[in-house]
Amino acid sequence: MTIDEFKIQNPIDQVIIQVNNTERNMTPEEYEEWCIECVEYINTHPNGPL
Amino acid sequence: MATPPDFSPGQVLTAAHMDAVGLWLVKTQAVGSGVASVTVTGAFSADYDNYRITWSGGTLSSNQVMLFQLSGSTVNYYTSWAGAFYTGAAITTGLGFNNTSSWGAGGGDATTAAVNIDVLGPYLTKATNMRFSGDFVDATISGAGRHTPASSFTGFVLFGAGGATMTGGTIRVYGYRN
Repeated sequence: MTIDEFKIQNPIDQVIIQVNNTERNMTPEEYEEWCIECVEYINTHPNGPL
Repeated sequence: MATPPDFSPGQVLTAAHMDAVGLWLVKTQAVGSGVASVTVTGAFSADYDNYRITWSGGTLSSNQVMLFQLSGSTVNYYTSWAGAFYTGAAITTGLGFNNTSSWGAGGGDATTAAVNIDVLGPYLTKATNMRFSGDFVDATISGAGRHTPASSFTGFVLFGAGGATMTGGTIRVYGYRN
């Protein structure tokens, strides 16, 4: 999966994070970092967690 | 003096009794619906060297590993896992993580999810160590790891691998009495 493909499936305005009791959207920087991490994991674990 | 946890009704608890308590609840955090990550601040302090962190009562949007980050650090996590499928077959691939951006901390799916991780020395200006276990639809794993910078941390982030989102349940942080 590419980062662009992941972003289409998970657009920034639909990704919510929680900091203590507060929920909010990611900042663009947080979103970029999260997308890179998720795609790296998906590509190294194509069959799921194990 | 009775030996904890055997107390008599109406017994006065002395400082010696309370000093013998080994695990103290530091913080609880309810988890929202469909969140990609949960940051917990103010979890680690000079009060305790070592911590147990749990998340229970919640679910993940897909069958995935739960990951853990010390707040503010996205590199230098080293960990390896061991595990087996419920069929008894050993898991042989995807179990080593050399200088990655997080640790494993648990696992789950849309039915149930859980985190159970011991974090050793996160507030100390030394490398931080961890031990964890996790269960999935078809298998269980356990592992250990280290975060090598000699840095102090006060908070952490829990999130599902591969973009899996968390819903419900409660994160609890306990401190092991020094």
